[in-house]
Amino acid sequence: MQHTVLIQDPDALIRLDLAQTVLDLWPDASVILCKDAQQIAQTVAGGVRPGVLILRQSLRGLRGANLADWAAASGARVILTGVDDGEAPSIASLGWSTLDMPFSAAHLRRVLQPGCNDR
Amino acid sequence: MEQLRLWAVAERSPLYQWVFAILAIVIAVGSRAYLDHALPPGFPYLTLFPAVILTGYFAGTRAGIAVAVVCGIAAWYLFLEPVNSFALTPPSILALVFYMFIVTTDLVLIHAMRYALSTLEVEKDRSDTLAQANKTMFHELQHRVSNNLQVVSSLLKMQRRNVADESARAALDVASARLQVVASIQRQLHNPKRQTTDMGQLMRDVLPEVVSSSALSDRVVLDFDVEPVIVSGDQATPLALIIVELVSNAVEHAAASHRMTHLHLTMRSRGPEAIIIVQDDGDGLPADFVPEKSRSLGLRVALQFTEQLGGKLVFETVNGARVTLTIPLERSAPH
Repeated sequence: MQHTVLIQDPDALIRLDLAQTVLDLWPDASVILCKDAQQIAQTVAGGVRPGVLILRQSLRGLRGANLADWAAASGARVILTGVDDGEAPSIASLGWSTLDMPFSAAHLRRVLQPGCNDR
Repeated sequence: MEQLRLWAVAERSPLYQWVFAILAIVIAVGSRAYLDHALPPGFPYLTLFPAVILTGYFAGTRAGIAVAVVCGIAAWYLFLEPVNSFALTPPSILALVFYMFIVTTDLVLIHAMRYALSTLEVEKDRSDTLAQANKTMFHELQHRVSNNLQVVSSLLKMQRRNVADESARAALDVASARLQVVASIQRQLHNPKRQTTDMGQLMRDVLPEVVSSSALSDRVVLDFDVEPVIVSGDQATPLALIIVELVSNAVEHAAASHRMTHLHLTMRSRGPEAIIIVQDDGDGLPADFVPEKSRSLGLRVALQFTEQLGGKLVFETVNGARVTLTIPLERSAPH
């Protein structure tokens, strides 16, 4: 099964590292890198339908950028790495996951694929 | 009482002040006139003083002064002998001077009190703003630290991917594990109100990943016998790094013996001290082992941090290798 993963982070190094971690786990994955919410919106507007979203966004930020409803409706697996305090219950109720920075490759793999071996 | 304070500091419109003043004058003079036949002689200002005080408090000093002046003139004409005249007799002069002294004193005191309350309100608002700004800055700082740690973590991972040599990869894995320990503590201290860490729980969270990052992890079984050991924020990072180094060292040496190794971590809080024991069932320490002369970076780190914490590190061969760390707990951290 080929995965399409959209990774958004303002830091280029972190984006690349996340992409590499995803490719280590899913060598056949198609990875899209975005810097900010605006690029996410442009990517989505271009017709891309990622199955996994790894976003450096808080829930509040996602709503502010009018992306929360789209993410919820897309059916994609959503992982937020920039959550604000107190957002965890709301995010969990959406069936989304969170990762606190800094997270290791093992942390990310665990969230992406439960039961995946670390090595 | 809070409502009284809020009334005192509330900004009042000119319309409010004048309406309040007029009503106060009408009620005060009207009620005094109504009660005139029932009161004994000598109480010309009975209902006028409360009117001045209440107006000064609820409507402001200017309104209070207006009420004082109008009520004073009304009392002079209506209630001071000879009534219905502005005649000045020694008794009426005395009464008027008495009235002016009392209302002036009242209005000055009320004005000072309202000024003090207003100043307090401004300071309270400023403190609230500063506290909120402080909280925001703290969170912003925490986010920046988290971001920077993530960048460093990413750098180490990317470097590891570019390195073929296994020992170099292992060294980078160790560095990544140490970084994760520091990051875990930083996350725990994220809450500005929470500046202590339960080391027992932290080790339960962190050590399994430290062990799993080792190439020998499939030969190691890690057990915990830990009580809550609460340490201050200053102690948390060095103590966690000591324990991680001792466990990593134990994994490296015990598991190299090519059989399953049980690694046991014990943590206790006993009065002013914390006692941490890392025990394995391997072959024990080398006969010529001297910790201070060890070339192991991890061991040197552990010794340095132990000294920094004012603690003691004891190495023994007891059913394998046993390392006992004893550190004094800082008073600010509850035991």
